[in-house]
Amino acid sequence: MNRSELALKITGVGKRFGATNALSSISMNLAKGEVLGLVGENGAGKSTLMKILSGAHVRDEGEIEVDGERVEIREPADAQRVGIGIIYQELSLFPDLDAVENIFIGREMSFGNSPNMTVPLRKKAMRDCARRILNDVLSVEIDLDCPVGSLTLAQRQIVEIARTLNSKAKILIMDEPTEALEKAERERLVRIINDLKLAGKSVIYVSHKLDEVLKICDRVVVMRDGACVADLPASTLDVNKMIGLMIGGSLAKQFPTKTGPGADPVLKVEGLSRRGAFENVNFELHQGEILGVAGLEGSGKTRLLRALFGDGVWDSGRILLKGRSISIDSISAAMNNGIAFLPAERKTEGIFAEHSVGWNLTASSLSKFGGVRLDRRAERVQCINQIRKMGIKSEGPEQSIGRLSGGNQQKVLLARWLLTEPDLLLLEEPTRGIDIKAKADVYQLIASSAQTGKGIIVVSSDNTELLGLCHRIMVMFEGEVVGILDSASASEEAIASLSIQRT
Amino acid sequence: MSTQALDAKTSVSKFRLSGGASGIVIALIVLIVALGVASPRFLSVGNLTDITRQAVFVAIIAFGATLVIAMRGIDLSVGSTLAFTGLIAADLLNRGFNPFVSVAASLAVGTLIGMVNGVLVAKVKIADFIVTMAMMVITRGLIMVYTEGIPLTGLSNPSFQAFGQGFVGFVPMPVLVTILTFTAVYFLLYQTRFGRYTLSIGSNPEAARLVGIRIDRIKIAVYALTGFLAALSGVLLTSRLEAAMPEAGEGYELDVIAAVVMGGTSLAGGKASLLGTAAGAVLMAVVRNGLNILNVNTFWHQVVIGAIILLAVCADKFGGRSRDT
Repeated sequence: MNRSELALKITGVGKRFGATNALSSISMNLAKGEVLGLVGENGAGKSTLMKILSGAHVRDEGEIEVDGERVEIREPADAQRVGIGIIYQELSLFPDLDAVENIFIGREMSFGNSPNMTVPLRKKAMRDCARRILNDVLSVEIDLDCPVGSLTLAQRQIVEIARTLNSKAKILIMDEPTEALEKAERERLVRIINDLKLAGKSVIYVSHKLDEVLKICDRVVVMRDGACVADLPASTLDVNKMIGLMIGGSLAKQFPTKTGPGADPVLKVEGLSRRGAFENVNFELHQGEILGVAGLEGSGKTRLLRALFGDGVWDSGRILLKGRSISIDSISAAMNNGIAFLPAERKTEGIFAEHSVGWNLTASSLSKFGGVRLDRRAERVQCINQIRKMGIKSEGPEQSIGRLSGGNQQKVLLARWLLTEPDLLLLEEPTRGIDIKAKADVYQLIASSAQTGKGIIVVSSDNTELLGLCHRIMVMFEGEVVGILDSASASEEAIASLSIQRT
Repeated sequence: MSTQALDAKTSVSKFRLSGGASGIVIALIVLIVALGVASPRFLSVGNLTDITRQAVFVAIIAFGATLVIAMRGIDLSVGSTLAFTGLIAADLLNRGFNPFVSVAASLAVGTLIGMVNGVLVAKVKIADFIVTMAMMVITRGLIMVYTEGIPLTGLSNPSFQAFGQGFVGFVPMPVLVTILTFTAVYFLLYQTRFGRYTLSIGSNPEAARLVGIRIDRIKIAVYALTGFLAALSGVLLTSRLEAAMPEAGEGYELDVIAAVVMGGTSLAGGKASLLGTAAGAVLMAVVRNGLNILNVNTFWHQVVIGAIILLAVCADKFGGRSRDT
């Protein structure tokens, strides 16, 4: 390959954090117009490498060349200058500003392009330019006047891509870009990436969604324990091969075997409606059954799930729990009725980051431990039991939860709710952002709690997960249930076509 | 002090200092030694008693404020509440009420003021800064309306005087009250669900809501507790001065916040160090006393105290990264 055709060349890059070698001697190339997939388990070093490229971390050793020239990247501004743009997993937009302001943040156009910050801005020119990027380059329509906080997640991500493009980046790093997107939106992103590629931009695509990586990328680099273990054309790989490379062995089985649900209904929902959220929802959930809920963002699936947990009231309809009509007007009422809820956003809705594993574990069942004075000995014993039972990798209940991997944090949160001994377990995106092994563990834990007779509802945007884990899948569209499929006979295509439009 | 919540295995670890608290305790010891060397008068029994007496009024309130701040809240009304409730106790006493009734009424009013703060913050959802600032101005205004700026004096009831001036053994009554308050709040913060919930709200309010914590109730209770403690401090001060001063407690809200923050409780919430708060309150008193003893011009006192607050917070910020998280 001709040297000047390389957009990026990394040679022997290493990084240490204290005693741990986060990256050891990484070398890789990225050609112009190439899409490179970067995969690996959590902690394999993908994020560290991307942070070095984007200036968030400084490498300890090695060289980075952009367009054949050696560059020093010591802070984010350096990365921008050499043409590396990163689109973060956690969106970094300003929610109160509109799309144009976000796209131009930090590089606003002023009259005479003066560096003086008090020169008036060329609002019209910025708006035209933003519209050009969005409409012509990305071919999407986005309301330029409303604050981006009120756009959908997918639209916000497009604004972020537009911002990176506007910075004249030649190399785009996308870190888990589709993690929170629905299928149709993911397909649009795939199209955008293809367009970028045709325009000669290079893309590094970091993702856990291996099938997607195979579809989008030309070449795949697999990382494990801070090193590159494979660098192969995508055409020579398949998902199982990739998993094998990532974990350094083979995964026995991703999904547990399903056992038949019991006959007794745990939950019966009749004509449940909330204006603007969901309408006339009817379904039944049996003991030991795992019911999946599929649908696009805005289909009402999460609002339905949260309503069952007393977060937001409903206008009409009723809920029967174990044959008894109950009213759930608050979260504590739901909990008193034996309902538990695992929210999707682990960081903002789940963990208490400053606190220990034990603290996090017992947060919703403290009343079990003593009266006025907490019985911390009993609490500790229970925590140790749960840590063992759930297979949580930690140094014990006193360890800070912030030090645990995402998968182990998720297991702590699942244990938190299992400790309340619920009859009905509501799970929202239970495996979002966790690695393959942890996913398999979480599936196993969900399946075994179903076997103890609980009813479980799983809302997920990952249809493979729903098919592998659930007995039945309820599909929602614009607030209505458009079908309940038996997962033994359903397919991802069937779920997708129901989710997109009613047929 | 958060992870210690589960250290039931070793009883000694109960009073283990968190990173934030150990910093301030060291600073305090260094300062005391330095002042002792600089002026022999500093370490005299009389002077140390003076320092303690000065510290307790801020400390008692700061114990409550530690919970407020650990919950990501703020309470600016404590200084005015102190003066207002002190005035109520004095006024009732002058009207011939039994001293116990007067004190009880004063404490009840303090609690009520805190509850009103709490309801406005938790239920009406007005920013805590605004609510408590308005409360600070309103109560101070009411004091001025009632007293016309003139102190209420002539509190000659001996049992009331004993409250602020008496001794139990060799321990001054206000110090004893402070120790009891510390113990009670310590228990509440580290040994009960209430404390756990308070820290949870400060750590992650959304997660706290989703584990079924009744956030509004906890918030109201924490503000009420702080109002109660402000009143307790107010009664002690009135009894000690044998007068209700209209300008009593002015600036206390800042001393209280400084003591809490210097003690290692983060304004970002989620973590609290009650022992650190106690040390912070003592440190403030030691600095003021030291400046007096060294005959530093009083106009410079504020400058020095402000600088110390900044220094303490910087030390916590940069020293705090490496401590156990």
